[in-house]
Amino acid sequence: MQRLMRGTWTMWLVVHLGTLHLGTLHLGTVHLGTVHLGTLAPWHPGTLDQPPRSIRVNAERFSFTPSKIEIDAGEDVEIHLKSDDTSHGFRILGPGRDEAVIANVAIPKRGKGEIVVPLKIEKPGRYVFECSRMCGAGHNFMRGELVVRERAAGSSGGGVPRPLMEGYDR
Amino acid sequence: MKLLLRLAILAIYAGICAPHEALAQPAQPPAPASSEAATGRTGPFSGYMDFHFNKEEGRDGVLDFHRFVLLFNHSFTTRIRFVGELELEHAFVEGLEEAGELELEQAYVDFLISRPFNVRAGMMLVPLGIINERHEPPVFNGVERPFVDTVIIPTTWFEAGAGIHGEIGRGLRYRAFAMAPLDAIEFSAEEGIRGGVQKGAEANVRNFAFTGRAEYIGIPDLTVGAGFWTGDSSFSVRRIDTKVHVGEVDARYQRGRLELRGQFAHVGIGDAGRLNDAIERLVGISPNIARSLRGFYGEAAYRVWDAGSPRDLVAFVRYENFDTQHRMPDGFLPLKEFDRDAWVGGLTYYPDPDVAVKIDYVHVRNQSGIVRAPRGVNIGLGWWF
Repeated sequence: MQRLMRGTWTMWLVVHLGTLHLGTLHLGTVHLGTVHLGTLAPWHPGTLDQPPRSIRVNAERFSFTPSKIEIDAGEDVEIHLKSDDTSHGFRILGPGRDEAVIANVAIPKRGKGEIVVPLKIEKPGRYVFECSRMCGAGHNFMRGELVVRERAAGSSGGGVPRPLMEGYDR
Repeated sequence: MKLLLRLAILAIYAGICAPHEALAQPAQPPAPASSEAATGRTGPFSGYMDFHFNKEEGRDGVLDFHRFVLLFNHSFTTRIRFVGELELEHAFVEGLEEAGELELEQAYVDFLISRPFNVRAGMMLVPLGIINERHEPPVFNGVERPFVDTVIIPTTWFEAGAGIHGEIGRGLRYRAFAMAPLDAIEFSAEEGIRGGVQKGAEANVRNFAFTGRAEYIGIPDLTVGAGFWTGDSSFSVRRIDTKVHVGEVDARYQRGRLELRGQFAHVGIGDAGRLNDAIERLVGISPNIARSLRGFYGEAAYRVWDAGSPRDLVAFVRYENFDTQHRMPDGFLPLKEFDRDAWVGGLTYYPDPDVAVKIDYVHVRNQSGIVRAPRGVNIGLGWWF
């Protein structure tokens, strides 16, 4: 909580409520809003020339794909979470022995849309992300790693937008 | 039978006529961070249930509430966690009778240390095959589990022990456990090593068994795994060296609407001839235990109805070949009725990703000219919560 109050990172939750389809006619996407989860630092969701990088993560019993995500310190990213089966959780824990919970959201079941977690972490380190909703016999295997790299000197944090697949592996 | 079919059709119809959530739900406001939806908490209980109707040719139909399973979890800290799984099979347990079973399938504490290295101790699942660690009803096709995952790999195979697990990186995961061994005196010709699982009940550990699995998820849409079990299982029959080795490889591939899965498993039983003799001296009948058992299966499933909604209809077909008398010790002849193969085909309807309504037809064949293999229809309802 102290870390949170110091405003060393920023966490927002965007709920993407679905896409309207009528047969093959795409009527548009419904995006009903963004909820601030309670940090102090203002979040800038990317300017026109620096949109936040999107990282797509699939959850399935009992793994995340990718299971390792790499971002830069201070970089604006959006983690798009989707499930291939049941509802899972997505919780990010602080680096090292820090047990602070940085994010904790529910991923909807398959076919019920995705959830987007905008994220900006200032402190470099290795963070753990994991399923926080009991999803079956192998629930505790469902873990991954979020690596926050030191920002290079002179970097503004965002830089030129990069391809979606850059910066992480499975 | 007709009544059950009508009920199944009604269940499917109810699912079709339910409000289309993907279209109807946008009016729902986002949940606050502290709510159940946002935190992902589901309370102290989760679990799954399995309710079956089985009708074999020439026999009366059977209604069976096959599995009632509750899972418990508790976090002492974010890095020390407990998971428990308590299973009631066949709905009813009575002392000293062959009825249901009440089993503690999992009860372990995980010490989550780092991504590549974590420690687990307690009652754990043996990390072999596709089904043993992934056995929730909506996860597999078919009312009953594959035969190979029943008579070659005795799912649900659980045992007391301790070990390590983690992900080395680039999608390579592993688990390695030391566990109580099998009890060879309980092996049989029909079900192989299944009867020998000690289930952590005052399990004899004169010799520990070792088991492990490596799993690679580094290629998109593909999961491949290989596992082993090895241990001396002759503590009940002294002076016999009954080492048991189990090895298996498996793969799952899912792309778009298509899912393919396959598995090969082999069991080797050391000193099987002397084991048969020793058991015959004890009980009067030779159990005709083989020195090797072998099984494999391949399954193709296709999502025939998937319009982006949470409701799906999956058609599948599976071929299995399994022989619990694959290689016999010198002086013993194989019982051909246990050299079997099976075609299983059917449908799985998901009114919700966590609810599966299943129907299938099972055609088992064997190499015996006398004993006829069973064939029949199964209808099932399984759910995860």
